[in-house]
Amino acid sequence: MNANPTYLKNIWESRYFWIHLALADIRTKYRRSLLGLAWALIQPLSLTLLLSFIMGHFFHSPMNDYAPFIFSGLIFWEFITASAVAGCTSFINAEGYIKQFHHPLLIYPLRNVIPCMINLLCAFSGIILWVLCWNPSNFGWSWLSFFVSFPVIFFFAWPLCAITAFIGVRFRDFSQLILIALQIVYYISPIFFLPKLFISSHLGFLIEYNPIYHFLNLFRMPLLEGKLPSLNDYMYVVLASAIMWLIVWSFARRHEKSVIFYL
Amino acid sequence: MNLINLQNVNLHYSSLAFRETSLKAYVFKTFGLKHKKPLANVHALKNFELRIEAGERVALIGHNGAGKSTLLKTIAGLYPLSSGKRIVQGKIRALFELSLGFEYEATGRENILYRGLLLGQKPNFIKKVTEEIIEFTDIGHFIDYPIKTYSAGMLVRLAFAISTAIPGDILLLDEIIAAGDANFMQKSRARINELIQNSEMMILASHDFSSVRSLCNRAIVIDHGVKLFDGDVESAIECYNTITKTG
Repeated sequence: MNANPTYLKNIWESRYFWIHLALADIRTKYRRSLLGLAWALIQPLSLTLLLSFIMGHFFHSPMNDYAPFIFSGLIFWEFITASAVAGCTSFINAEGYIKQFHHPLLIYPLRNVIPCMINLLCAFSGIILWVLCWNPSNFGWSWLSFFVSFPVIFFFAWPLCAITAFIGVRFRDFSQLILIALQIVYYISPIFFLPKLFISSHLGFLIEYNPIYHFLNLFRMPLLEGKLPSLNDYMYVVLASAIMWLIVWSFARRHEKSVIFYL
Repeated sequence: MNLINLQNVNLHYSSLAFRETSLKAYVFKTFGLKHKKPLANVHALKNFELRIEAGERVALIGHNGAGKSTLLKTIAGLYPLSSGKRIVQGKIRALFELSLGFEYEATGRENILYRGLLLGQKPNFIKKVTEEIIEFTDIGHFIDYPIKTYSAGMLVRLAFAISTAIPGDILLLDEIIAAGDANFMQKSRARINELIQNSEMMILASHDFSSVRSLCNRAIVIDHGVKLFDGDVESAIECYNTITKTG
């Protein structure tokens, strides 16, 4: 890839192809399931109820505040994990396409990220409902920031997926490693531990410099506190995305063409 | 004006692709725990010069592994050149790896759309040719079944029908594909011939001299990635026969 307009133009020109493949993935996933996309909602919801019941007792957090906190943490974490894991097999699964036609390779991670995003949006509708029912005072202008935040996290997940795609095609056992890495990040991020627990245990640096924390804040601030996310939160997420795009760019520049040899 | 021009092209298959395909192997190698004789890179095309202009029907002949398919894929722009220059003007349509690249959970009809889009078409165009493709495949009502229920023959027929329904200027063929049973084979031959007639330029890699003689007006002999002969078909076949004899 040259960071040139032609490459971006080619991605745009093949849009019908990757959009349809992404839709096919969603259809396949839910084709024979009873509840279809509702699963995207039910799965984190049931886990939330369980966790907020148990953890709420451990940490003496009132269920009503704690449950939307966990719910938001779980669905966004699921989005990040799903994007990273799907990337590992992104090029491998696209072998038949890559060997037949010369499309820009980045469309294959894109194809994988779109279904993750749609899943996320379905689950997100659940938390919106929850907050509207139990914490309606949080509803307000700050929710307009979602229209900025979702594109921002989309351009966070796409390079993440592309990075694992490039490494995954070179090292087939990379998916094992990424699972371990994700698990570590899971426990050092405030997915279901409240941020104040990190701070009171003198582990504040784990969240302050953790893009995942700021990533989650983009949505937790408006949902849970009715406030706009801080500029600082946006900065961290955009900075993390920019670093990942740089990595993708350097991978693609050197290896875009030779990926076909590894398939 | 359609044109293919390869200037002093070299192509290597990186041996990295078959070594250390896992992190484990990579780590072992880096720390010198394993000493295996490294595989050398494969030099698949050597200083290749080629110029093909509109109207030409070119055959590539050579042994298995001589570099015919590699050359086709290089022309199609799939492989990275180690050195040299590749200039291709015109829309390429390649018929290789036909049975690859299906979405197995999707129906035949959906796959017509996906493959058409893969080959760079717009949804509108594909809608127009879908019925004709379905008719040609002879798959009948199975077209609305997921293709994982298809037999191998049905898959090839579907792949063939889609790939041959989409226009292009430069036709690249890896062997004349004759798919399916005797009846379909005849139909597909007729269709390929029609396609060749309608294309501006055709390159065919083949072992079948009768189709080379009937379809091509120029032939290139390749051996170990080197162009041995380039000229009229009869002399090329003669040249190929000599290298076969001398081994």
